[in-house]
Amino acid sequence: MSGYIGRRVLEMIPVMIGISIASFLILQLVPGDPVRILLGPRATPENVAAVRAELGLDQNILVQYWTFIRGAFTLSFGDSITYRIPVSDVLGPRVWPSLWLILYSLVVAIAIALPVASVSALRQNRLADHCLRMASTVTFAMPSFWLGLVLSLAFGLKLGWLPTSGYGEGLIDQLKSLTLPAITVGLYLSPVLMRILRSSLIDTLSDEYVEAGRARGLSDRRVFSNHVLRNSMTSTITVLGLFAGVLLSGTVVVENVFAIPGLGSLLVTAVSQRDFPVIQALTFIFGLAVILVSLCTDLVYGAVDPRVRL
Amino acid sequence: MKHSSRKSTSNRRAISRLAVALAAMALTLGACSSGSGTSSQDEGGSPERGGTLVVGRAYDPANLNPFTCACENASIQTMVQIYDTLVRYADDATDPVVPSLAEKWTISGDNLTYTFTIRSAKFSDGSPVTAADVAYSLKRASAPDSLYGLLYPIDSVETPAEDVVVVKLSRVTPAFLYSLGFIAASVVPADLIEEQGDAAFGEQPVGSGPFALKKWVKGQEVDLVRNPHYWRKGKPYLDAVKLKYIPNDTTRSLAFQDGSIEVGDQIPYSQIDRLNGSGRGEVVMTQSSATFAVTLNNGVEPLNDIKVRQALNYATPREAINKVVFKGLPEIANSTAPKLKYWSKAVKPFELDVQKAKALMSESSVPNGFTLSLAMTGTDEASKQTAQIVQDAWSKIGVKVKIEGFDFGTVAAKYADSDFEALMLLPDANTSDLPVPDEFAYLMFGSLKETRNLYSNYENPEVDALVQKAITTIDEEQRSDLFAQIQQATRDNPRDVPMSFAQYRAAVASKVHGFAYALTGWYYLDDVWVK
Repeated sequence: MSGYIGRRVLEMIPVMIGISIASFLILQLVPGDPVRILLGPRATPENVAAVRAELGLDQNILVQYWTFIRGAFTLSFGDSITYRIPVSDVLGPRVWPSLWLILYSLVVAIAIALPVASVSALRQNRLADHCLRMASTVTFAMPSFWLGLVLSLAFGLKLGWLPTSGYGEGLIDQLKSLTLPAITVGLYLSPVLMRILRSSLIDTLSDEYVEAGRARGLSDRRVFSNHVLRNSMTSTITVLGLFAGVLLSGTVVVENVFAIPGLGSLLVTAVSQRDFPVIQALTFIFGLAVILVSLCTDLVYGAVDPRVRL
Repeated sequence: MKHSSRKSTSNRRAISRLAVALAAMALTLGACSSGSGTSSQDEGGSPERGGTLVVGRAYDPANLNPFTCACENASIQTMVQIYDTLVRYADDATDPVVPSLAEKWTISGDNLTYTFTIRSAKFSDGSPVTAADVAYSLKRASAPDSLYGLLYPIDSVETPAEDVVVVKLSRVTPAFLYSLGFIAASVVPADLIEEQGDAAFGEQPVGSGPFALKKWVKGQEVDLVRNPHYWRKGKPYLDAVKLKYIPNDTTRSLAFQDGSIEVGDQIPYSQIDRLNGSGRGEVVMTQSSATFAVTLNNGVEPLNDIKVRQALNYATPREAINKVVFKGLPEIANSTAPKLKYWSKAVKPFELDVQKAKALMSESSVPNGFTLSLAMTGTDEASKQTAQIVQDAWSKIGVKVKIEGFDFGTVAAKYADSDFEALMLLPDANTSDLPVPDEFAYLMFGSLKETRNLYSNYENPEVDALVQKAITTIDEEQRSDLFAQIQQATRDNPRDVPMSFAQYRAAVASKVHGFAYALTGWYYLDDVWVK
């Protein structure tokens, strides 16, 4: 097992280097000079040149890349062009809102997908199954921008149960503020999870050992929860892992609608300001997150399914 | 205090904060406020001390250091509560500058020497404001590496006494006193900023303004708290102010409606009626000093032909655009020069006259029409709608418009490089820092060598001469007349296609009193109280 982990970590390195090179090069191709944007058209060519030198943007591209990658491995990414403070100070406070939002969304997604898939699988091809599948397709088709605003209007303004937007202070406040965003994202994820789980459950339900269990006198409930569900989880775990990795940057729209200070909206702002150090830091971190999450998913998979030897 | 007319200076630098501010607020003028909407709230009894005001804003400040910031609107709007300047902008066009940290001043006969008496005041950390602090601040504002050096042509600053500052200008500048009200000339504690350095000071700014910074959570909110040492006795009424960042327009409206914010900034035009009818408060509007226009690159054929530019102006349905895109609220622009002091009502806007436009086209160098690319911010609703209307209207005179949408950063870059044929900035983007037209007129019409007349390549030596004269003439009447001439001349020989004067709009809750936009489009919160 430790050999497996070790191998995966080693494989990570070339991938991270590849991601960083790609994002670095793409940024060089995009029109728009960050210093020009920072200083505004009011700046003279001398102003711009001075600030470029100060920020090290006038150096050879390879030197710039080397400075970046060297710092990246110690997670120190230089200074933000827009804010003039270290990138880690810009990113730091925004990591937790993003992480909480993702965790919360995944919990909501599972909380919806699990019972819905179970009912759907057990009542396969009956009315309940059709209705639930249709509902899940409709939910999947709803644009999250619109859905977020509708939820905010309904539960925030009309009913007043939850805040319409913002992040709040203190854990309880923040969890309350994250509820509507988490539901928005969770509703978007749950149809996929539900479909995958449902088809796994249907497959498992027709396996012989399930029949055998019932024949032995185990209650339907017991058979379902201890045997059927457990054995159907594997593909769902894989998809969950995929989502978790992608969600770090994928919550941009929801962050914008609900004014959550997360990493996704930071990336969008940084791109529009051409804040290279922040963009590169975020791309690096997102890449790292996806790889780590996929490693965790594989490990969890291996733990859950004893047939898989890592 | 004695007012003599001021001269401004030509300089190389350019204005607008468009590149940094995504939807920059514009500055208001005083002279004629627009027809619909009030520019301030009516009073509701006598002020009460205490309470917290929560403001929801469309953007987040980047830098709170007045000497290193690029000073886009969010930063300015925040700094205005924290710092003091020597003078402040008032609501009144006839007397738009009132004393702030400078209690009084005298101006020498040759208009080159200004002597300011600094009032007794303290910074929020308790240390006194001295002439040395003022001198330091003015020197930094006028330093060669300052982005706003154009506004402060200062030769020397002396401090003959603890509370006296003598400023010698390098040239006669009628607009100088106005420039002192701008945030780039904020007064800071010299020792503290030198000791901490610019970056650290920007994170924990200290000023003598009505509020002090308590906490700044980037991307979320700025928390301000009353400055106990503020020199205006009894003010500010508010204990604290929270400036929240709510980027989504609809969410900001919702936040206003459910009471989680008491003031909502930059309300979309489409929400104004609903918010006025929500029972929570009303929408306060004010004329800004931004002109919404289609900028033309006069250096590109056939836009270098005056008849073509005039034809485009006659073919543009301004009323329709104003109605469809902005609910008819802004005023139709009669020139690109924004509505500031000395704005001339006598200059008539172009009326929609397709026949005349066609006639002009047939006399021009391209009687059979031509194709034109129009660059604009693809994500902005107002720009998209306007572009489509313009495309349709100009096709009637044989001009085929190709609309190209880009992100804001790219539009700004193309603008600064003159890499466009026709280009549309965001409606509130091109604004003036001062309530007088000196800065704007110089940059748009009188800085051909330095900024290609703000990237338009507009060449008009007659107007150039008028501008140089207007910004160096002390006499108020002559200045007024000169600026009126400039307005007429740039309407007859248009630099671009001006459309409307943009508006600022804020939703203000009924329990908030004393909220008013100052002449320059930002709001000082020391007069505000909540019941």
